[in-house]
Amino acid sequence: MKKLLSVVALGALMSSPALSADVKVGSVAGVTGPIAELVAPILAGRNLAADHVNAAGGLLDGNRLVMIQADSQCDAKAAVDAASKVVNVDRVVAIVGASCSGATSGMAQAVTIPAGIASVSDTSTAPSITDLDDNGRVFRTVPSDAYQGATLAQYAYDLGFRRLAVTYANDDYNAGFAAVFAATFPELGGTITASQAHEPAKPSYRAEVATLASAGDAEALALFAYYGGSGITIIRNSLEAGLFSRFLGGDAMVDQSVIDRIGADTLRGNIWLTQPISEEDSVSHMAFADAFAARGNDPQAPFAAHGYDATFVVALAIEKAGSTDSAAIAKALTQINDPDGEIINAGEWAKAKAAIAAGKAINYEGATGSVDFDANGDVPGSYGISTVGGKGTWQVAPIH
Amino acid sequence: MEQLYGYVLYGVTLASMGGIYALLALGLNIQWGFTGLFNTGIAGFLAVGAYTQALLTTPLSSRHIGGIELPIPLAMLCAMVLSAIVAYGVARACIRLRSDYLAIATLGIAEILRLIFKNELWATNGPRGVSQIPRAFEDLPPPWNAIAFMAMVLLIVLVVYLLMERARVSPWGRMMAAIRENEEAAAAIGKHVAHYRTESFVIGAAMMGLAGALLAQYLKQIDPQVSEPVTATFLVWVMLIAGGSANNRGAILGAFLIWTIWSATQILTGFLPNEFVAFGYTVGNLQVRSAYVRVFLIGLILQFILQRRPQGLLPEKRPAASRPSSAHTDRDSS
Amino acid sequence: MLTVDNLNKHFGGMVAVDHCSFAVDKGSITGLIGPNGAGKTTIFNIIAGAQQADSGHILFEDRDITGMAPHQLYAMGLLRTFQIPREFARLTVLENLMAAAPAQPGERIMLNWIAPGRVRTREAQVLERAEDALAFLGLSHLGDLPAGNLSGGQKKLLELGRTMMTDARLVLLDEPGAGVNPTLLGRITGMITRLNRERGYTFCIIEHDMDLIEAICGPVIVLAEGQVLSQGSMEEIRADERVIDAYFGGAVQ
Repeated sequence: MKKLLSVVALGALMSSPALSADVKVGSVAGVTGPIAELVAPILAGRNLAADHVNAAGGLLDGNRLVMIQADSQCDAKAAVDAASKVVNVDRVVAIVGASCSGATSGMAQAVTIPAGIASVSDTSTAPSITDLDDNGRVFRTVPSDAYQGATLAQYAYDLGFRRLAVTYANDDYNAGFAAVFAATFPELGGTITASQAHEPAKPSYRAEVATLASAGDAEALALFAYYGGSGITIIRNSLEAGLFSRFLGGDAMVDQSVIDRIGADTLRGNIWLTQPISEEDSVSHMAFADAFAARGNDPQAPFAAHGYDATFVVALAIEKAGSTDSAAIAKALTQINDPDGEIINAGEWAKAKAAIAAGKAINYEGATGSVDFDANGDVPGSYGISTVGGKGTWQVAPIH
Repeated sequence: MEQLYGYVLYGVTLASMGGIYALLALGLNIQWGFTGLFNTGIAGFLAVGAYTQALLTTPLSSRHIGGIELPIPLAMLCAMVLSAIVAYGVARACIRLRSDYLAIATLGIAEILRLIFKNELWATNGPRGVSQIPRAFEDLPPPWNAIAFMAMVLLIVLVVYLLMERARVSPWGRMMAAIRENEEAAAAIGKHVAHYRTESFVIGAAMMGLAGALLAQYLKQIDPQVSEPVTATFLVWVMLIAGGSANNRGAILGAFLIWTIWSATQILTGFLPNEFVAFGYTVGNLQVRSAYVRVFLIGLILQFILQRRPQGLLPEKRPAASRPSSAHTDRDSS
Repeated sequence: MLTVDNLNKHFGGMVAVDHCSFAVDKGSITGLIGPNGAGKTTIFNIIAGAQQADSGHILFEDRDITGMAPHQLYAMGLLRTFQIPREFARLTVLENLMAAAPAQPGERIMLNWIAPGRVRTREAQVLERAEDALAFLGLSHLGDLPAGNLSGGQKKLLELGRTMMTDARLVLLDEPGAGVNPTLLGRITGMITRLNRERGYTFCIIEHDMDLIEAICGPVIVLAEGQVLSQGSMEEIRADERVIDAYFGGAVQ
């Protein structure tokens, strides 16, 4: 007990530097755990948005936006614990996060919904989050897998593919994505020759690839995996064995190391990856990408732009609400995308602040797209296709 | 004042989760502390309990089986029973194995269970898990719903503690310790070793199942990640070893202490600046890095305790029960 | 009382017990001797249910007990001790003895919760009996010490003491004198004869110490290469040329 007290006292002591003028927002992410490698750029995206806000007048009466980070480990246990801490101890007014759908779902149901605090996830794509009984508290800037799976299926069909083999890493993200894909592709008239889950982080997938190839003459492999977990290894094993030479997949595969380790020439013209993005040439995306790259980050890192948007919309909602009341913030999150409002692009905090101060309606056009929350707090999302370009890097082209 | 209120609410979540871990540690204490059964499959029994609770109480969903909407207490009972049944099956197969082999067997079984929960999509919704699990007392107004749930968890811990403490000081506890110390000698003094090892394993697993049922309610969401071994098996072992194996109070103390350290370290690491400059070098991403310090810290604590207090903070008490004073004085006077 | 009939046991290609037959008479202290590797401990293990015979039978008071588990034999009054003492190291000396008591309702976990009175009544009897045994062993002052802290000889006493917690009928003692200092050895032999005389225990003792065998054993059975080589009184054994060849060698001269 004494120990607990001293920890608490120490915590209180250390929290004093954060001035009362600060507005705290929780930044909950799977810093450790299975998607740790994705999280650093996402946090950088969130922090960039906070810095944009603070550099251009801050929140409300010039209050600083402070991101309180907590580790949700991609696990509901950890996410609930982390969220309880930022909500109760740090008294955050809203939360950006968490990562991984299970963690987000647990955090929302066990902590933030009961506490009446809005959360905006930048990575959780599970369709089940759509139907949480959330009292208008759960939002996300990343579209549900239901959309992306259908988009990839349509794109593959349009490319001329009719027979595809499917393999997916058995985690919540890839399994959900693959399930929608595998359900949609046959509806369009294609055939799934084989569908197999695999465990990530194995040293070799030769056996899995051979099984998939033996099940029928698939024209390509639809591969749903994190690049570092199993994606690169599966591509390499497929090429070595000469079983698959063309690949379809999602945003979790978009990383420069895929090209570096497999070879740009091998992959050029043979790989298509969907990625939730905004229009490449949109002013908003460029603004984000330039600022992000200026800090030495890769603007195409998965979910980094979503992290930026999630943080920026929370800031807009606080400003719009005109207070740090969490219920008002949750309500305001639905009021920052007025179709008739003044367009606000990524980074345009000063403009947004002025517009809100003038009582004008605003319409945020984010780095990832329109970020128009529907009644469930979901965004429709717009997608691009990443392919290997002439310079040996990923090139994203929007799908129309 | 508001800040203090926040700490109290955080304390409520800390105590709820600590209590769930205390149940796990008490369950492991029966198996390992009392009887010497090296169970490395705690996560498996936790998951059986959690999924039983989840699937029996959630409303009908197209994503997983269920829709029975059983009352919460009844589902908790089912979680215990099912976990016990699974444990009985496991015990029938491998309770006679020596401790290190039992460790490997239970580790394997927990992994099999995890893969079942992960891959049988029709039943469990696979890696996406089961959500909207009803929690006891959630209809009360906040913060009383959280406080009532915590009180229920702590009450269950107390009842289990009292039952297990009675068992520990009883001839049953003495016999289990004898089996732990030397199986062959225990058999030679008339103890049916396999039978009692099974009994201990099953009782411990039932408690882990109960902990799982509480965890499912507490999180309102479970997926195969709940049986991830680091936080569901390894951490429980750290708690028991740190608190004191074969000591029920030690198990509880270890659970609350280690969980508090695990959880509260984040408050401290949260205050680190994201970058700092030392000797002309910029160390960046400090907040990301600091998250790993917690894992390291737990390992360090375990090392320290194993080196300095191998018996744990509260060592096993022997004799388990003090001699009844009447018998003692009778003998002295005779 | 105990009849071993045509017992066989192989370990791989090695024959440990080879068509061995002998009997232990009720009320006797029967010595079982023989050179190393004669199969004495293997026979003990088979009788006590710790190992299974390949063939042959064991009868205990006219019941076939071949292949019975140790805890079943214990219930029938057939007990054994170990060559290297197997105390419950972290339990106290008193707890070691109390654990050995039979028919303890408190060993059923439920009864501790629903019928604590019954448990307490029996526990008081067990405690009394354990303290009597401690007094008999002369270990009363060590009752609350962890058994692992006892000396080797004291552990031997404790093993003997465990047999006193039940109404034993036949006790198999595996080298009760090994590694015990002469003073303590005297006490151990004294206790064996007292238990035999006062409580009617039948003993079957494996021992290498010929003085101990001579002092307390009635009939002596000599084993060699898994078979009974000779049996009779110690005088007869000493006179037996085959025994001298196989076992005593020049040592007796």
